Amino acid sequence: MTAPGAIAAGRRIIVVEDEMMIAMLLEDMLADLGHTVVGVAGRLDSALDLARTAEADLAILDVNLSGEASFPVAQVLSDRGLPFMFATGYGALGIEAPFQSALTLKKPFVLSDLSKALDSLAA
Amino acid sequence: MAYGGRSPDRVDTMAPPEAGADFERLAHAIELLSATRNPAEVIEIVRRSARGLSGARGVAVVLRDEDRCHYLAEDSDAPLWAGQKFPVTACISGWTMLNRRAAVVPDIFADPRIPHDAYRPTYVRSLIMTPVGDEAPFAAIGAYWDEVREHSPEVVNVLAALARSAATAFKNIQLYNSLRQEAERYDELYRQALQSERRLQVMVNELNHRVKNSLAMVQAIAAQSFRAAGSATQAQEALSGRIQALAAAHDVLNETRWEDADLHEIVQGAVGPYLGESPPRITMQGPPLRISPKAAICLSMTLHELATNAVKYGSLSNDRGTVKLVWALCPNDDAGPQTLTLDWTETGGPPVNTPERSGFGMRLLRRGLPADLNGTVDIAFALAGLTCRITAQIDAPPPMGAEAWR
Repeated sequence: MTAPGAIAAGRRIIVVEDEMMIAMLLEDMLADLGHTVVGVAGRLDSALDLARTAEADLAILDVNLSGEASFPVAQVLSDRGLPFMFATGYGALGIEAPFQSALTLKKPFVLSDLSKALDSLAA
Repeated sequence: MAYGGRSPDRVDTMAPPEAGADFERLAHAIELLSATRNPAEVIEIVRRSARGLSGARGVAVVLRDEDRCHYLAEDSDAPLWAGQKFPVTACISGWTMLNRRAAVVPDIFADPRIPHDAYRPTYVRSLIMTPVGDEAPFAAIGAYWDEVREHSPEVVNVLAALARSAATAFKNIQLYNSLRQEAERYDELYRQALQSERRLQVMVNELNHRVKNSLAMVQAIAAQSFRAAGSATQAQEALSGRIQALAAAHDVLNETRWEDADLHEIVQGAVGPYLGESPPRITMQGPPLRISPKAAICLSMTLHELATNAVKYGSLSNDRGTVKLVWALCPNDDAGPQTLTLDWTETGGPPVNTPERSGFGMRLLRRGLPADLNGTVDIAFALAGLTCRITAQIDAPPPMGAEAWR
């Protein structure tokens, strides 16, 4: 049994983030929370591949990948029924239809922000 | 409404010549002249009103065209010189413009200013030529009679009044046009100001995103530095160095407003302190090359980690070891990205041992760089010194602003 409102550890997570240091930070934070990162992609093409093929439970998506929006990745995840959240410096403002109501983690974030966001995604 | 129209139609409806109606004719002509905004219309009004006002058999409107007098329009029952041009110095209209006063000629063949040959084919025996424009006359009104006659001061005066009114009309049109141009210029300036303001707003938004992104990066660097460090002092040193490397890359990118960066400058910013020594501890060699902002930041951080590692454990940890940094660009066959190869070779340092656990720097090299640059990193802990070969796919620099939209 997990604590009420906290998602079980050991989730398999896709990280889509084009800034390597932020990706590494996310990896570490997720590891601290007991989860496993099953793949990191920093470009739209590799992110789409990962979203289509990875055995994962959920995904965290940066909105801007070197100038390209990650919404097609969100669409693939959506089609697969995989939950995801956006992590972006824009906040919810930069999110386009039909994903405006998707969960958004505002950069920069700390461990507790990430933990709460993961809980909300599971709820 | 009897007066004040300004269309050519109004000119057509002018009353025909009638004795004793001089004042009304003049007033009507002045009224038409004051309302027009068109130089051709001024000439037409003068042409149509001068004959009736003067009682002459024919009138002509002459415009100065550099060193020639252009007999532009006439109102005469027999043709005079319409369409012809004469030298300013060889016709009476030229004389009147050059001398800035009217020529009142009772008998043309008795007046030496008149080019008699030009008049022989015509009915003209007597004329009044009136300049248009006080300071530098640019036109003249000619009135012609078919008999020798003494001209009355009234006729001379009414033609002079018409000429003054025409000159004023020309001046007003000029003024009107320059004011309109001025107004258009201000309109344009206003439009440009609005555009600049919009551009500025876009730039401020971009800057906000860029700052946000930089903060997120600094946060990540800080977290990594503290996580890997053995002590708070070590963490502080590592963090300071990394933030400095990031700031150096920003400095280089700011020079091009984040469009691209010169690889030379990025290297210099990242390992600068070791380049200045004599002899230099780090030598670099490679062609000039422009790389994207992302590649610039990534390489800057990477080179900083390599240099830090060399100072701690490698060839820069003693006082005689060196690092050679060589890069080259291998063009691909197609127009796609090119491959940049960058070799970091340490020599003269203490014997190298493969580290037991990899710190942040190595992790950055092995994980981050390949992902970020779509390339490869091969680190070899050779006994003689660490070598690191980095390959990266170098895209054409992204369009302005693409990097900041985040």
